[in-house]
Amino acid sequence: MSVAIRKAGPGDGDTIHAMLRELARHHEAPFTAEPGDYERFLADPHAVNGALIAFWNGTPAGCATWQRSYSTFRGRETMYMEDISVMPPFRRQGIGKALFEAVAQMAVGRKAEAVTWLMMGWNADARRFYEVHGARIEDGVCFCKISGPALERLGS
Amino acid sequence: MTLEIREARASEVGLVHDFIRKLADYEKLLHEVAASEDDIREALFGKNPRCHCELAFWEGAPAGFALWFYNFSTFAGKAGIYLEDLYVEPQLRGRGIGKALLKHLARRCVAEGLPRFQWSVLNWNTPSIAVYEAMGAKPVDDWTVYRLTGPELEALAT
Repeated sequence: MSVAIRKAGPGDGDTIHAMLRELARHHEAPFTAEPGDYERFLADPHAVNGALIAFWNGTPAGCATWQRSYSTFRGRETMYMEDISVMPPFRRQGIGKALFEAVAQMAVGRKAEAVTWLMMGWNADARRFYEVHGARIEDGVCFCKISGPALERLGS
Repeated sequence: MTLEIREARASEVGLVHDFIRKLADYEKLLHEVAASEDDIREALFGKNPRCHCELAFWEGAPAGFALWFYNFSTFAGKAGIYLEDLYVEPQLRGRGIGKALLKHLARRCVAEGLPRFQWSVLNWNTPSIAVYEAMGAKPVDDWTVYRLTGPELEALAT
């Protein structure tokens, strides 16, 4: 039994779509992406975002998505990890950890200064998992978003 | 009283770098600033630009800036804008310059069909939070920001 991880490429849009739809369902979050939305960046060698796919004995089992970010204070690239999704039949096999390690490897390979991500506060298992690996909560930072009608109003 | 907002030019990197340091000072994080003017030049105007920068001018004088980059919502399947830095000179605050910079980027979101506009703010920065909430922005409750860096990042990557 083994896990293998590779960069997602053209043709992987359906696989990533199925995995992220499952993640959105788990978080009860709206999900309107289409596989073609992923194919566009998977086919672009200069894309500022990308995905990794984990295979368990050859079967697609999970994925991670990342995007390039930048710290003006540090003057360095950082990496933002958007999602880690492991499909239900494949959980508790270390696949999430393997994906997290692969994102860290990619960040180090790109000379990124840090990896950052958001986690839903109630997810105590995930919190323990990340803290064991040396991740720190950014105390005192509030993450803000404007979208929908409020964004239309501000942008009019 | 006139306000002009436009993209920063390569000749203005010194000004942008200066604003970044002033913002860090306001955020009590000046000790964390390691970016040189050359780093910022490379990020904005290098072969592979990572960021975009808008400058605000009040009656012709530099008044503030907004530095941003595109990100991507995997659930919406669409790009968005992430605002990394927003700063207005202290003596020019209270004139709506910060809001005008935000509006400028919100217009870009709407024009380009980008469904979300995001940024982070320090919890103690109540003047900024009041401005954000008045225009309909919401803190994303229940989300915690994590960061993995330095030796811990290296350790995980090996």
